[in-house]
Amino acid sequence: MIWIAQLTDTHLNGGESGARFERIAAWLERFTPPVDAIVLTGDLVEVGELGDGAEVYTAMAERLASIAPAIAVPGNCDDPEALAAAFLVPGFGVAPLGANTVLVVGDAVAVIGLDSSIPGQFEGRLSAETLGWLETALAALPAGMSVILAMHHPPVALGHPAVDGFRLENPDSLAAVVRKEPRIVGILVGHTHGATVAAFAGKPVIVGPGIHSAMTLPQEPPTTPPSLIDFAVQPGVALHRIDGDTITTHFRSVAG
Amino acid sequence: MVWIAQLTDIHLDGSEAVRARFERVVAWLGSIQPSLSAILLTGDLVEQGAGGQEDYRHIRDALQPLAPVIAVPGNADDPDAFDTVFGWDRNPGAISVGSWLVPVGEQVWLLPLDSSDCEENGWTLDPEPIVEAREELAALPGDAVVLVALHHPPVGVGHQLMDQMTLRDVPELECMVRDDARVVGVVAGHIHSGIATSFAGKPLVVGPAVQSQIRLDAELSGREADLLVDDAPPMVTMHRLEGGRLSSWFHAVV
Repeated sequence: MIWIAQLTDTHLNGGESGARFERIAAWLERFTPPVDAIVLTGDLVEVGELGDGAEVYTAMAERLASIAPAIAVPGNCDDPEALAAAFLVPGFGVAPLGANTVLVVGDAVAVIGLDSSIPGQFEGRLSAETLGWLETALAALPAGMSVILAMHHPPVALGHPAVDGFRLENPDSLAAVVRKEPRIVGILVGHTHGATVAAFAGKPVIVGPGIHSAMTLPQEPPTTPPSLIDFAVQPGVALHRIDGDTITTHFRSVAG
Repeated sequence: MVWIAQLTDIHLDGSEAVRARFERVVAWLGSIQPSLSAILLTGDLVEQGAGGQEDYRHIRDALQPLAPVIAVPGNADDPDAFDTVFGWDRNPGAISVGSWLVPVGEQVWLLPLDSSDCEENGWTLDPEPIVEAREELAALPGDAVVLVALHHPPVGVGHQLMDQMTLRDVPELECMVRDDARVVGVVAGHIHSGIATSFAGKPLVVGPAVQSQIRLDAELSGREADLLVDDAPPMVTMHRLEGGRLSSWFHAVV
């Protein structure tokens, strides 16, 4: 039995989001027993506002290293190089390619982190190099291992017009890999700041709640000034329990 | 496209605090546009021994103006009072008396099931409605979409305390969910936490409660008295059905 905490969309920018991240880290630190691993699914640092964010990524990686082994993938706000340099996950049977890497948890679960970011764009894409690397990584993993894919952009529409247009642009290429790989038990993503579950290529897709903020739903009345971002919602975490080929996700919000 | 709002574990108990949490959710549901295809209540609408028929009426009267209301009972519900207000033959649009499937949108049906009967080693589900529902399913078109709703999750969710008592195995339920491609998922309540897992090869979504949320085993480390998080906001689950695909949003009402 493996428990993985998914933290996503912290959007660290030198402001209030730092306190929301720390609230989550302090809460997670008190777990008994601790989680087996932490997965960060992107938009960790607002690099535009904080240079390349190198120091912020390093501080974040150090804070989490005291809790559990962590793997991170970049989102559209991140600097993939600075992120990969700070989180330094060596891979398993395959060397990392840019920010693509593998973290093996215990000896039964592998988390494969994929870089779906496109420099300067909100939408995501898995490059041919990344998809090729994914196949190599899968080939390097033992037969009995359960595999989790982690990336920033949801590969399916979730029913929110404001974000559905900025999802993964090439889901079919990923679906082709997922469909022939029975070891994959689930796909963890972020990006939309809302705890959501859906399905893709026959597997669960789980969207972690945003730590920076929540997103308003498409049916909610417009705010003044218009905004999709709701700071009144508590920051949340998705906790994934992996038991053989079954993933069970608990969503928790954390009060201040 | 069909949107269904799921409210679960409201536990009205006569107290102002619990009622206020429900009212907050009602106000939020009333504020959203476009309107919902249905509102699904997955049990424990009142607190055991503390809620009565007037509470069920209150829930129904508050929600019915917003969308058709479909309800299944939980273990805390009063069977007679629940039936008087929410009995399945009062489900809106029931095809006919003796029909288990409830239409909620174009080619979308809910199958509400009653898991509130308790035996020594767990809650039970009468297989008869499932057997009859399968006959009704046979008459539906191939592109129909069916969502099963019941109070108790049919599998353990990885919470020591909440998994102590579970729904007893119902092979008829498992076979129907596994074998019929038109059954796209199962939704439940009972746990007081937003959870996603799978059952019989399909998504199982457990809606978080209106009344309270719960802490995980690793947060409790044996302190069972700390189970409930009372200061967490009430929550709603918004299920979206589009082209035979289910996506479910867990939404905190602040």
